[in-house]
Amino acid sequence: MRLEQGLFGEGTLSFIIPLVGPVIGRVIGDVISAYFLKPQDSEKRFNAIVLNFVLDPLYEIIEYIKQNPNYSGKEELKLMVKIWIEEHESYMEILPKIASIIASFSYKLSYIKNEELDLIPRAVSLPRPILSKYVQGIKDLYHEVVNKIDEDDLDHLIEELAKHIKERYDNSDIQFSKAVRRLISSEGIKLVFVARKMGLN
Amino acid sequence: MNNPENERTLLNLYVTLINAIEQVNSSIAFSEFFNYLFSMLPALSRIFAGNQAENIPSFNELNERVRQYISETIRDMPSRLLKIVDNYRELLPKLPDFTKLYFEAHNIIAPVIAESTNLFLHTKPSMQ
Repeated sequence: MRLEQGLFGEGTLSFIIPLVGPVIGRVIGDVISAYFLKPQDSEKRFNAIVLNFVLDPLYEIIEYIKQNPNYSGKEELKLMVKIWIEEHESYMEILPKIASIIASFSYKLSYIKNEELDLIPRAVSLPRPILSKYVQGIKDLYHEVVNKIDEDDLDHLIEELAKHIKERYDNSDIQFSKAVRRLISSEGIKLVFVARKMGLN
Repeated sequence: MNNPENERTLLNLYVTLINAIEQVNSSIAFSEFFNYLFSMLPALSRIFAGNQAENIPSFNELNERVRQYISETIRDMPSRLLKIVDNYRELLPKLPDFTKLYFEAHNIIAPVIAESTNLFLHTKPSMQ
């Protein structure tokens, strides 16, 4: 028997088609709906992405550096943040892939919910033109982050971040749990850092 | 990452590392799959028999075809695995460096995440 013939012979797997249909339909539906998000909805989605995977972890890291001035990894952590911000486009691209990898990882902490991990690729996959448009609007903040880290002006940076978080919080459509957003973002931050160090950027 | 090849390399290294951490025993998963398949056969033959009884192979016939399929798959597996592994020829030499850098990065950021979320509790913060 040739493998190509399939397990039950030709045509006998047709009962699977009704099961496959909805899956493909959902994937196509997600892609189409992402492209046809109304402007206000796509802005909400972008705010959610930035809030969950950029501003929240960034705020935590800067706050940690401020609260722990004697932390031995302080300079490396600052360098890591700078590389992360400089590589924000790569970071956004690998986030959904990291979520998929971690979702398939069988050793998981109990409070990391697969439903949330599954939602990340759909939530983060905004069409590139829309993403680029909104990223332009946050580039000033990114420059400011890098400058303020260089100047060690963490107090003002924390104030600025808190302001952005507050502004975007009510105008965003998805909230992930603390554990998931910090796990995924920290993996993304590590990977763009390692990519830079290995010359893979 | 402007070069998709770099992104692929990075994520392949990451997956390889994750798999190494997890120490996946694929043979368990493999046998589980076939156990599951065998347990499905009576049910499938009942479904077929209910709908198109005249075109349906008997349970024994199905069973025989599954066994044949498994034996061909297993016979074919080494060459397929070799083909897959060959794709990692370029990747594997980079794995030790990747792992070292990954854990260096992990040790830098883990205290922050551990403190704010209780994730990575196994990591000791390196405070002075």
